[in-house]
Amino acid sequence: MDKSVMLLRAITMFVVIAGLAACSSIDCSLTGKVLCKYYIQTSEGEDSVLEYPLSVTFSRPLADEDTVYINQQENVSSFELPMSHIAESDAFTLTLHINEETTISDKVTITKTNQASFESVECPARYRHTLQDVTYTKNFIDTIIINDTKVSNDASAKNIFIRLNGSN
Amino acid sequence: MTHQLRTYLFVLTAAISLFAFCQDVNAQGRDKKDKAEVDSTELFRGISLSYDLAGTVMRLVSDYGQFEGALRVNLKDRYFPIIELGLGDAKHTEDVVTHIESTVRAPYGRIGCDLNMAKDKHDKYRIMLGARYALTSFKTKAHGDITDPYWGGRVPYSYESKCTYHWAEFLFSVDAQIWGPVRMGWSFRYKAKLSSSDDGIGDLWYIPGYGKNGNRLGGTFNITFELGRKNKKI
Repeated sequence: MDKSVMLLRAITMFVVIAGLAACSSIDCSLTGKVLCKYYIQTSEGEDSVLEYPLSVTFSRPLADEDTVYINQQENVSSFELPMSHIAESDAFTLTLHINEETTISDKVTITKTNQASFESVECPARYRHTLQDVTYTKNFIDTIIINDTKVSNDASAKNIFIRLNGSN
Repeated sequence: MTHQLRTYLFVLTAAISLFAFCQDVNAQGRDKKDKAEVDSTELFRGISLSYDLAGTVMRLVSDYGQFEGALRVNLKDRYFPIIELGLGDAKHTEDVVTHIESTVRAPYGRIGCDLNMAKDKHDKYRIMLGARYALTSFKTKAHGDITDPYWGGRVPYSYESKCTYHWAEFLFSVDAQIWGPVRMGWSFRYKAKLSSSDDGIGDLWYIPGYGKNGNRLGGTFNITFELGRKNKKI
């Protein structure tokens, strides 16, 4: 067989194999989860840890029932919460378990805007959010500060500081 | 910005190196033959029209693909300036898992040059190295009804974005004369993004002419009709 023909065939085979190797399936981003990051601080703004276990309960009007997202987590210095896809505001309750009979709770409502995000049809739909405002009760919370309004899959973001009143 | 600058420099350096290498190879070949011998091949050796069958087959059997043609000029059987124009098309009907449907459909274009590296440049076989600059501007649309896994309820999802995308391609190709003016061949391509107007968060799924976002390798299978060239008989 003519050498050039053999060379051509070998190269063609290489191209076919390389082309097949180039076919890849979608790898949905592992860091694709959009979470709002909360950090616990003292009333003076120093990083702090909750003295009592923390529970977080979502108020879910669309699902017609509330749900517990964090259940009595101990030594909490920060936590992450998903935001609703399209609601204008999310309401949730933070509960500190002082002991088996005693709890203390504050209700937090965050107002936001929502921006649809798209990676692939094979990956779950995502929304990014821009925080607008926060309202809250003050049983154990002193102040809530919006530090970074952009809620995305950026793991380094520090969105909200929860400053505790002196006794917690 | 630094990343873009480095990409531009890489593309520029690669293009210059490729050109210089080809010039060097030509010069050495000529020196060996006979310094007094001059390449008497006429400058204009005709034009060719080609169509990419791989892109069409890809579209027929998958969610995305392209319909692409090219016009190539033959200079001295060695240099082949080329324009490639196509229509990228992607449509994914409602995904059974994510319940999202998406469409992208837009034209794209590439411009560049191939160099015939074959020892006998008039041979019926050609082995080419080439480079392209490519551009497309397109809209991505996606919609569906999705479940909010944490906050509950089924909510409508709607997404639309515009993007202008620039990229470079470096290719290796082979083709052969099949019959008369008809040629067939493959090209194997490496693609490098130059710049885009998207927000950089990875929202692009399919880019017309480029393929799926992040997939740097690709290829074409072309059928080509050469016009105006006196072909060698097989």
